[in-house]
Amino acid sequence: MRRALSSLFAALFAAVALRADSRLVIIVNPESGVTRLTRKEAEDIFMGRQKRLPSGLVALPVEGLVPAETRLRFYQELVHLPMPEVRAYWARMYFSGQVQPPRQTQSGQETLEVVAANKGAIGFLEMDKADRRVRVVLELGEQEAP
Amino acid sequence: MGKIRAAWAVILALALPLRAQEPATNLQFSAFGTLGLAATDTHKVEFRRTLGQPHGAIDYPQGSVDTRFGVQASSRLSDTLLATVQVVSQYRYDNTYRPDLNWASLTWTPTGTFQARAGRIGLEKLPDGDYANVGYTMLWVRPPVEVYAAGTTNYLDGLDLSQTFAIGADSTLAIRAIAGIANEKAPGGANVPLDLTGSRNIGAALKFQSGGFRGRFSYVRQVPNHNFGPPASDEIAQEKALAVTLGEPKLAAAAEAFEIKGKPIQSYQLGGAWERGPVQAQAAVVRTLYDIPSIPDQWSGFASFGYRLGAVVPYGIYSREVSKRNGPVDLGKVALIPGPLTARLTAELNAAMHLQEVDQTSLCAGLRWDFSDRADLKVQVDRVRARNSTALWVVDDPTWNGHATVMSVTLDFIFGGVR
Repeated sequence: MRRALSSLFAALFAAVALRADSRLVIIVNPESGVTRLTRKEAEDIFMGRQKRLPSGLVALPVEGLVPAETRLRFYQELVHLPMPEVRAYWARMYFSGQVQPPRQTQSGQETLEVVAANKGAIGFLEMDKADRRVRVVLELGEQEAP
Repeated sequence: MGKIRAAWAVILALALPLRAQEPATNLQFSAFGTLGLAATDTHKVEFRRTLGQPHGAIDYPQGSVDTRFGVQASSRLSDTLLATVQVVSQYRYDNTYRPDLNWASLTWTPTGTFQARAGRIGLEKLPDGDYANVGYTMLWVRPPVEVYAAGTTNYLDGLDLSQTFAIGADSTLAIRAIAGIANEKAPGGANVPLDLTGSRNIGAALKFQSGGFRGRFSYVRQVPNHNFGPPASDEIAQEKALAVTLGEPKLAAAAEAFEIKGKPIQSYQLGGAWERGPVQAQAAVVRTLYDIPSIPDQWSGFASFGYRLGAVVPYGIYSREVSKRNGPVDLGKVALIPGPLTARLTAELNAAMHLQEVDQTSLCAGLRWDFSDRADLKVQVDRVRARNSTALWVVDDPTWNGHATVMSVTLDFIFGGVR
């Protein structure tokens, strides 16, 4: 029984590994001066608590609305919150007059274009959608080194 | 006042031309609102959301308690400057829905960790008080009345500064300082007009955030600039003058005890919230100290818990407010010449003190249904028990036994700006 279970887990892990390029990554402009981001830095920028990139540039967070599944996974993996809570959070930040919410895009392609065109832009995508115009600074699936 | 008006005009003047230059995302218009109905099971008292409401819900549904509408415009003037204007219409102290300018501020963020705001800004006297008008942002139908009803100051004309520090790899601590002049009015605890315009306020807050946890400790000191409005203040003045004429310094002092002008109101708040996955938990304790003998010091607090099940979040709230019971005062013991004036002052002082006393508990159960990305529907039932205290209510019949059930349904929505 135990052996059967471990084979099952091994098979599941293999399946996950094969799909590794659908992992979510955070991308920036190659000229942003940022080569690596911690989860905490990414969380603070995407939740409006930090308005600059670690390099000092004013951050322009870009939130891809489509596909909705990617956005849902992004917030689930980054802040462990369901979408209604994320929306309520942004309404709090916005209506308390402190920030403007992230710029929103309608496709992964548009996210790429905005990040490629703006030095301070920061967005999220599935790994296989990223190209040479942007730099990957954090993979959300991975464990951060202590 | 003139200067403040001029500042708003400048903000608008700065914000409006930008629309022509950068039509894309720079100027954002948005709106929020709540359509609400609330009813109780008694016609003896009226349930209200804040002391700023002159009337409340009785045993047939009233829309005035929770219904409100707000519009906001914000514009990024430069990389470091954000202008925000917000106007809110809600049932208010003068029995109207006259719109009120809630925010009109410039936010300057010169570095990643420092922020300054100037203009009309949120006081955030209570945890999350900055967005208590926006039903969509909160789990409940309304913030627990035992803690929030007395919060009649929502904004200041002033300045606030905040600096954020990283603590370890995962946490941040923000220190905030605020100073400014209040500009709001309320009907007052005993239905005597309470004019807080011109009150000086200073405050400080520590905000801690780590993962799904946020905690907050804050302090606000408010010095009212007016006494209770007439007729109360006229009577107090007359009695004080009479006592002075009669050579009764202690009676004059007793009359003065009714006055609130120049006497600091201080409040300390400690709160925390945990939001992660399906869990939404929150709690806060507030201590309010009055330098006014006729208003007793208060403790209030609440704890709430919600758990998301798909599109719905069932939740519960426990909240309580208690004030120190000031024993009856007998001025006959201190007066040099006992007589009708002494008796009248004694009766008035005791009545005033009793009206301000609070000992109330609410147990609420509710359900939030996020039926759309930009709207939610909530139902909530509050079981309220007030022990010999009516300060949060409008009393229509003094034989009320202190028990009430409040049933509420609200539809919250937002437009534009945030998605």
